[in-house]
Amino acid sequence: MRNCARRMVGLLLAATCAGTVLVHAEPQLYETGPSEESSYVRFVNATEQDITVISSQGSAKVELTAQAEGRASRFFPVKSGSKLSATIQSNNRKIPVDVVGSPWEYITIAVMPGSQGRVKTKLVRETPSDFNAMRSSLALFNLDAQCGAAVMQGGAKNVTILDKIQPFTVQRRLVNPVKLSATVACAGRSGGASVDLSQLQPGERYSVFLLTLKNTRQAFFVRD
Amino acid sequence: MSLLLAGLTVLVIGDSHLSTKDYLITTLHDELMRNGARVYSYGACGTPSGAWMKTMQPPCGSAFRLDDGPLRIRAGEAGSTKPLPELVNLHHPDLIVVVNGDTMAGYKNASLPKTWIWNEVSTLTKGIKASGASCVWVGPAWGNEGGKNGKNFPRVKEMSEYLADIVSPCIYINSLAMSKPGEWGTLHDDGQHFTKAGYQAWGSAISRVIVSSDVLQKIKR
Repeated sequence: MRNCARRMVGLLLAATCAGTVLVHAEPQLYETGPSEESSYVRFVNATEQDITVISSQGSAKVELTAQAEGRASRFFPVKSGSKLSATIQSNNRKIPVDVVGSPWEYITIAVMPGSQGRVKTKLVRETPSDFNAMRSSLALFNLDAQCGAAVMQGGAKNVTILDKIQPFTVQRRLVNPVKLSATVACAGRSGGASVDLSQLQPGERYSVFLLTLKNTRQAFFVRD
Repeated sequence: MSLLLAGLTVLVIGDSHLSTKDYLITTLHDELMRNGARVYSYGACGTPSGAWMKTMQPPCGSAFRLDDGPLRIRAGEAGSTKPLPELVNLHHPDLIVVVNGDTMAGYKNASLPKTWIWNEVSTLTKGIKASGASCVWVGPAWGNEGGKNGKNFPRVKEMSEYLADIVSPCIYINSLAMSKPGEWGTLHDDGQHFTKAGYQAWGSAISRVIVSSDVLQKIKR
């Protein structure tokens, strides 16, 4: 009887231990897909001065220069539907910015020159669906309020890659991962800006920005 | 025995389809071994691709099988997985086989969550690329409609076509070409996980494609 009781205790202990390595006869059901929907937000400095973006809690700062790829931050993921608040500091002046993203929306907050030395913001929204690991995704953002139709041409035959892009909008397309130099211009106007993207990488996403500062058209690109 | 596969080390990682006895961790693992490979299989139930780049505790358990060793199944904290770079350091695979699709298809969502899937898949493919191993990616099979998982034929087709576009540098293996919709039996009120016969058919079909794929030619060179 005592041996039997010991065996019972042993079995119970074994069962308890086995509980930590529980074996399912078949997998439990689970939800497929994301647990929550996200949006993505980045800041682009389209002014002549360096700027600082400060999160609403003041805990995070992003410094953006006025030089080429230093103008753009990376995309920050935020919960879609939630308000993202930040402060933009330029020349010791601060302006607030609030943005709410839709599910899977990519929002570019462009910081533009305003009146009397101030800055202002413009939002460019896109919800891309062109993800592809074998090709490159190329976008042109028109951040020039005076340019009614931005155009990008490039390649050996200088073909039109993207065109008819209105102010503060974006167009994007897939291209083969080739070595690419392009010219970004405003349709019907002289004076384009060249941008050398070098060897495009498959699966990478590129944003080219057109802006005009001091009456000079400029272009730069970043990898998203 | 496959002359191309013999002597190669294959690391198989995946989701619930590799987390239970008689699933792919049994059938695909056996088939690859039968073809002469050293095989190390790891399953993490209910996890998306990107989760393989970190240590994680899968929501419904994990399993592993090291070459001709026994199947080990774990749950809770004990089921925490090793990230891919650690598995690569441990086993030095020539070929990585990823079996992942169903966990990301959002079968009950109104639309395919493409951005999220892209982020998950590219997180893992960047890790695979960095490992230097060749890889193939096995997409979802048809299953059956109407189960609690919400699996449905239009979405699984959309998911498979999308994965084919985004898993490079892995070679995509289209499981939908291996059977007709609903041909392989699934568990009652599940639609997603197959019966033993279904997993046998799927495991054999995947192995046949791997053995015939040009990825093995590239490894041998």
